[in-house]
Amino acid sequence: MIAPIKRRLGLSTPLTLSQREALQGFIYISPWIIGFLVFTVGPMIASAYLSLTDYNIVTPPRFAGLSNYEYMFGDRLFWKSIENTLYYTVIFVPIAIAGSLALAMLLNQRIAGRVALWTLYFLPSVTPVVAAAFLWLWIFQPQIGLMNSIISALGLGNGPLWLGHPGSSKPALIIINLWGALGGNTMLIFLATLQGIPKELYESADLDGAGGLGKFRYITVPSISPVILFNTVLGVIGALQMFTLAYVASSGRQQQFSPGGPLNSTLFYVLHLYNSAFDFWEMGYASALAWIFFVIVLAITGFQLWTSRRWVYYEGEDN
Amino acid sequence: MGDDGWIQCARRAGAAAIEVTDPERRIWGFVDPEGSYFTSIVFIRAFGGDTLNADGTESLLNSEESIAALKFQSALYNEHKVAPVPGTALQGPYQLFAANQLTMFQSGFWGSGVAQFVEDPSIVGVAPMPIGPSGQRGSMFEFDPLCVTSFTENPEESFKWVDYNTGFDVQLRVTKLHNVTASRPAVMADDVVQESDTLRVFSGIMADALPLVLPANFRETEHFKYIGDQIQALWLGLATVDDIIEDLNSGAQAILDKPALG
Repeated sequence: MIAPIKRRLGLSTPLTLSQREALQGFIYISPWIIGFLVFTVGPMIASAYLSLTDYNIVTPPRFAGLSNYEYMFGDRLFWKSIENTLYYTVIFVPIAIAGSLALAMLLNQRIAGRVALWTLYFLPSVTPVVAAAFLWLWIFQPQIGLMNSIISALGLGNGPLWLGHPGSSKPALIIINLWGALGGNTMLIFLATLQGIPKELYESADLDGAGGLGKFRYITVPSISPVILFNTVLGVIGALQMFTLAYVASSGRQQQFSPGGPLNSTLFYVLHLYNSAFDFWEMGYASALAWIFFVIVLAITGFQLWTSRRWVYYEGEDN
Repeated sequence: MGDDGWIQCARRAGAAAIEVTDPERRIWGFVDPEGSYFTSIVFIRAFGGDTLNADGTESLLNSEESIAALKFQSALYNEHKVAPVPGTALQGPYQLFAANQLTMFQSGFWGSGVAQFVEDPSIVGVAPMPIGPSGQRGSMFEFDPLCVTSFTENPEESFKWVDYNTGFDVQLRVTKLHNVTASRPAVMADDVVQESDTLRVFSGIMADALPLVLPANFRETEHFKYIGDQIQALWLGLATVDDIIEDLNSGAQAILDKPALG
């Protein structure tokens, strides 16, 4: 493999072993590097440039300086989308993490048929988001949906309009996503980690008379804290990127409305970005939104990693 | 009901009379499945108002007439309750109609296609929109144009193709074949078209219809979606027209004031 390349490059001196290995390594990973440069770095550079322009796809971009960024901070939909996204993230992520951990601990017990239970709980997470959205649109249908039928049968009145009302639309989306998230990848990762905690630690704690809560607090949580951090970081990034479910759930009213209704109550940040780019043809503004989003995600992730020094325990570290 | 002289209030009263409040089987007098900009513009025009001025540069949503129309429409859902709140109906008008749970819905000519969904198509009839306080019917007339791009390498052939497709003979053939409306008044007045009960009604509607005016800066999607989303607060009973109208109008005007696309 190396010889033809050497001939092409006009290299006469033989390569050292480490040079050969390095060259081979680069050749092996070159498809990924090329893909990364063309499909990630290239669009990022392009979007950085476009964020400084007025660009509507139809006509060539016109340089506009920082006007897109200035406009953004006066755009009420920008702030509304930030509010919606933070609301969703702050409620969804803690419930998803705590719920997944609780479920993993339950499924970690030595009970008959637990592998079948793992599979059952995991099934919702492999349901395509669009299929899940349509399923839940029926469940949340205000007049004959299952949810309001149950509420009515319990004598609690007619039930809310769910996705049709700004007061209940975000909670409805959180419920839908929790259905898929609680038994999904997060739970599996917790489960695998729980199974790796040395049993001797629990046996020692038993000898010292520790209770269930004490063992959870002083053995389980510290042992899995790196995984809690991992799941939290990924969960927050995923929640901040909320798009598909909100798009599908709020697009069921033909083409007369932008996704994100009613009354922009499900207009999450990425949905606002999408609407700006592909509904209102403001590609320059959408690019600016994308870069601010990048900064927001970076800042929140950095903050999480900074706080992790206080509560994440890595085995083998001195502290 | 539904003759040439019927008016908006008569329609509302008719809808209320038809409606049967049965928890097991609700029958609606009227349904607007979307509550969108395009539904409201028809009400607004029947009341003598409009959403835009003639050249598409000024928002007119806060005129007295527009306000009165939005109040009338909002009362259909919240006060008279003759129609389900838009967006919350179990199904679209076709399904509700076919299930005998709906007696009347607002639509363009395509709505007459509901006849395909009922056992007895003869029960389906069409009527012009009722007359509003302004003395005119609300309407919104639009036809998708055939366009030739300036980038075309064959402009003469392209224009010939457009000319062929929009000519009288082809329009008449399309109208007869698909039972749809045509933009040429002469086609709609043709004897063959007039044989259709539905198209006969629509030929009268189209003769008087008001054109759909679009924003001069080509931001019609942003404009109608913004208004459509904001007026949901009215249909849901979360705000009154007086509460939101100035914000609604200034928000719409802000879109009209943006630089033109293209």
